[in-house]
Amino acid sequence: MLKLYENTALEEKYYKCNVNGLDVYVIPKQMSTVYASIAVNFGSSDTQFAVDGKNVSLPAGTAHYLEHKMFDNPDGTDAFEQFSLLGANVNAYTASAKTCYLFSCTENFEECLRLLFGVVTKPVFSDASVEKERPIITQEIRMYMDDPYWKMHFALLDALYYNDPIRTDPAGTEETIAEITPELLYDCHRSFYTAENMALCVCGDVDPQRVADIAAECIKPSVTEKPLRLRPTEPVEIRTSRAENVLDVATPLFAVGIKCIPPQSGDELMRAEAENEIIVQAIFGKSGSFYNKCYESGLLGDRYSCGYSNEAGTALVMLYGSGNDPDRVYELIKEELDSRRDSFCTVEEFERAKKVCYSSALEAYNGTEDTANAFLGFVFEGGDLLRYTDFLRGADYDSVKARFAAQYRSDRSAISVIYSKEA
Amino acid sequence: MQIKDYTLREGVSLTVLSTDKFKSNLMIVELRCPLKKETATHNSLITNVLSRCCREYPTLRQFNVALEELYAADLDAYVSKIGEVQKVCFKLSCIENKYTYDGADVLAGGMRLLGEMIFNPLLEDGVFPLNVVNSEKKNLKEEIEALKDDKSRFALNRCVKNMCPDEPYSVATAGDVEVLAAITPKELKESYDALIATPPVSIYFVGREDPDKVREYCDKYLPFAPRKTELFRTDVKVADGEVKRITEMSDAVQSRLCMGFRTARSIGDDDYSALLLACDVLGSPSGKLFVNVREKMGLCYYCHPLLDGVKGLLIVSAGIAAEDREKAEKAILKQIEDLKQGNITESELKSAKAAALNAYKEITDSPSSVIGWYSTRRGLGLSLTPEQMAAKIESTTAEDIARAAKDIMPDTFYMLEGGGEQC
Repeated sequence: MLKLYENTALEEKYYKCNVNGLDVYVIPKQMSTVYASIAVNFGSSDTQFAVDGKNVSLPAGTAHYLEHKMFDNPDGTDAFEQFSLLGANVNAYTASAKTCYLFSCTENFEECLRLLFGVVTKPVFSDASVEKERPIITQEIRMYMDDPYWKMHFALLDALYYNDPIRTDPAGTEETIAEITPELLYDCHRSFYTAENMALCVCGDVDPQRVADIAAECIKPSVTEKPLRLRPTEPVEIRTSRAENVLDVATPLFAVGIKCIPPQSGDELMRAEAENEIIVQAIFGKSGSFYNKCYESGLLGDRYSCGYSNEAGTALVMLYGSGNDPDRVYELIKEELDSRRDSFCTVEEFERAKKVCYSSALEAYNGTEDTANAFLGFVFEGGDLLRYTDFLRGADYDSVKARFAAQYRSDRSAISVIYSKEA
Repeated sequence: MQIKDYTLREGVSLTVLSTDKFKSNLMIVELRCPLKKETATHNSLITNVLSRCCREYPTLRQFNVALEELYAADLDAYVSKIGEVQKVCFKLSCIENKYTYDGADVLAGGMRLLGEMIFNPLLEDGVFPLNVVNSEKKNLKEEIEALKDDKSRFALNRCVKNMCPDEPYSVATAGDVEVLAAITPKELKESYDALIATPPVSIYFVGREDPDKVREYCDKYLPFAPRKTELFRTDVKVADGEVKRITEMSDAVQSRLCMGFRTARSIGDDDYSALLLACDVLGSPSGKLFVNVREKMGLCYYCHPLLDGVKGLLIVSAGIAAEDREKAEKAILKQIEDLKQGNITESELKSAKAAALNAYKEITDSPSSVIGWYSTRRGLGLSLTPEQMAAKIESTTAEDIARAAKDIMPDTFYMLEGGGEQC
């Protein structure tokens, strides 16, 4: 039974239904490209779980390894070729909270959707096929090792968190992936790739009922026991306030993170996200006094960005920059955090920050891929993309100010620096 | 998508691509200059200076406040390169008026600021202020040097530089640090005056606004004087038969191999579709490179061809282990040799065509892709639409592809050899 949800101000709508346990969302859009993604609520942060009375502990990189191997077909071919013949682009990625399998196409949508279901529901792993993947993933890991932003990002998370698996690279390391076996991959698939633990989102010019019908053909209700996720407890404090690495970069790069309290799900999560985004814009945005002071004095240049993110039960604010005096910038950030507790932004700045966040939320509707991905960003957390702009517009100054005072603490921040070789 | 063309003045054109698919409007003003070492850096620095401030908003902060008030209208100036042409671009992207929640006329406001940015820069004693120039020189220097932070891209640039040492194509569009260091505010102002007065101007708009209204905005805010209508050619050279082999060392963990070929064909040729499909047979998601070099041989995580259809260059890039260089080179050459011999399976042909057709259909789903399509072709005096190109793709045969592949000749094999320790 398809149910319609609408946001008339945005002229956007979606249909939702549940098929054999699987949540199906269809967002109609008059575009040539149809984008579909099956998100599995299993990511690189799910490293320990209990199922059938036994505890399973996964080597880092398992969810990602599984993602690679799901494309193998029983006859030795792979799904890439099948999608290619239909002119579709198929891909997948593993994040901390979820693994997504996706395709985009301008023709043959229904066949592609069936194929995509085949990818996630038909595991075939053998010693040889798992072995074959190791050198490929090894090169993938080495490619990331050369990426200064990647390195800086994970060094920052490693400084901010004591135990949370978000600290680790989703691809794992050459050592950890050496431990991955077909049995382990089967265990993960059986436990997590179930109808109840996945969601399908399709965005494009398609018939929602057809999508639901195809889902009904392709997905069966799950029969396995629901696994219990085991997450290490994480203190609110940071582990250490500083990380540094040396790489072959021209100018030092740095990231400052502020560890925030992870929000609950549903409306509370959307409110928290909206309020945090507004805070970050108002205090650290491009029209704010902090950035401009740093820019005028040459401490920061154009390579600067700031944002808030919450995933897999963590929440943090990140500021990225480059320049020759990262520590001075970090000092200024901490001063800003401390001084703003008494003098939060003006109402005018607050309203302007709202416009910036609103416009960026609206941008997400400009393409089928962006829309579906933004939508899936909320589904496992009980949020609803179509209502998100209402939370932004409706954000209350005093409530935002109180959140800032409670959560943005300089003693819960850390800096990760990538120094250049010569310096 | 409806297309309406206007000649605003001699040498100044406006193309309005009308669609209601998007929630934002996009305008790009392109000034096309021959790519030359003497002017490239000046143009690049001009874009930095102009996007920082203008007469009305003399500081970055004031400029950014004004833009954020317009729902974070994105106003930018930048340079890009297409063949041997440097495009100096001014971009306005803003949300569609009907989605503002306070009835603001964001497009009119944004168009006015676009005009201010281009025509009314902040000047002191008739030249750009020294402090602004110096600070933007520092920012641009950092930006140019930071190209080496991304090893794959750096290797690609080095390959091209070695391949075309005496051709304008090897001039870096972002600029050269030595040229940059010597630029004075007075010289920069002279270059700016020449830039605004001389090169042909193409203005593109994608969005919902009535085309005649867009024209009115252009007449009002973008008063470009008449100028010569000129097309700049890009020289398509053929390989001289001798393969240059170059190895450079780096601290990267992974080695980057870039194999540069000359294709002898370019975008204006009647059988360009055959060359394009040859590249798709190599590089589609189930193409020869993926299937053989990655999946069968496990030599890499990524291995893909990059075709510059304007210059007639094909560069195959792969991230590999240093000791696998010979194996990888052989394997990649084997795939190209197979193409030349016409060893193209039916499914490879089908996949390549499907990928190319899919790509053409997707163009109209992205405002910047649509502009990119017309900008590239019109700049060369070509008038092909994506639909016409699709028809050519459909009728291309495996024999056509083999014939085009026979002219693909090796030129320069470059490797950025990694010797870095894993940490």
